[in-house]
Amino acid sequence: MAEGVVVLGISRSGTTLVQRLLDAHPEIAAPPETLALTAGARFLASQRMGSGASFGVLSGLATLGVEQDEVVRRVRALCFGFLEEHAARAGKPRWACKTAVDVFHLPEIEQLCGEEVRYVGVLRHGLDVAVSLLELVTKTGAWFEELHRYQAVEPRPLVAAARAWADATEALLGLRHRRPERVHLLRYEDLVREPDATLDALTSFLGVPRPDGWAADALSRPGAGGFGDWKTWEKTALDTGSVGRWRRYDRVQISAAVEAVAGVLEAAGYDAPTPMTPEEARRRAEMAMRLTALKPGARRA
Amino acid sequence: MTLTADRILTFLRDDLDVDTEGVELETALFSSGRVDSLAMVDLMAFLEREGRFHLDIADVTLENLDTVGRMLTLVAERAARG
Repeated sequence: MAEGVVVLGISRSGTTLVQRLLDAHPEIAAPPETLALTAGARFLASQRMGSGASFGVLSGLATLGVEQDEVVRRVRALCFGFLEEHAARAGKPRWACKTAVDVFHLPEIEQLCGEEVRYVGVLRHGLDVAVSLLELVTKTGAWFEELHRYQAVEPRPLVAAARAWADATEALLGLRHRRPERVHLLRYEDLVREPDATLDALTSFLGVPRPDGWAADALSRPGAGGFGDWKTWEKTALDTGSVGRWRRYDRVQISAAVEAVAGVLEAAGYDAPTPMTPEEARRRAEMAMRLTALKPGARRA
Repeated sequence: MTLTADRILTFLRDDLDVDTEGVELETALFSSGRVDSLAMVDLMAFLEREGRFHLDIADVTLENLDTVGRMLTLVAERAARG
């Protein structure tokens, strides 16, 4: 079977859209999120102890004389096996796997997949991701486990979401730096603004032909069920409606998020507004309080 | 560029996600609840930016800011004052 494709990116960056596109390709089977690689990555994860020792399954099994490479090989065979069987059942020579939390397990995903796959990293403006991620969390009623550590230390939800985006994005940029031949970064904004050029670059990287009417076909297909971002199923065509949504969000919160992740926004090539000065923030708060006192029924100051 | 009712309504709709359907020059925006306090703060910043003037806290009244028509009057008065 041809080498697999691992799609990586934080939730709400467009990864489900990319999965839909890949699954509509005649040579690629891209199922909804299986968490197969996620589970493999979690299996391989270890904890660094204060003494410097690694506390995990690799070092644990090493005490039984099992080589780390052998453990990784077996886990890889297990995880890839499910995906290969799915592709074979679909009559396609290649699988693609997308689970949006995988980007938070990148060291283990990389250890698991190594040079055996091609990686497609999906990038999107961090402020749009943060705004959309909060919407996702609100609708699902829970934060994903991978986001708990951001929520636990950051009381401002949009800033927490932006910090998660920053870590995911830095991880993708790092992966691209380490494995330039094996990693293709695809920007959501390019995909919806210039789909032809963006899909040409993707198929060229994967070494597959670009089918005629690929995007239209992909977006007209019914959902296959399973895990994934439901929002993409509202789309029947690529459009730019979700680009720049952050511009309509509360500016104080956006400003705080920019302060937190400005460096990564710049490194990823995204623009950002200048953060508010403390004086501007103070004046806005004063104005807002004044307005509140003007509300009909409000007690006059 | 001169500030017009259309520009204010476009800002309300596109930047602040306010439903501007049926909004006319004298439609109450803030006192009616159509525009909330946070959006009003953004709207005031927009008026300052576009009208090139500075609002004082005393300017923040329904008489000056509750309708598009009153906002345009305020901006025009400030422009005339120089």
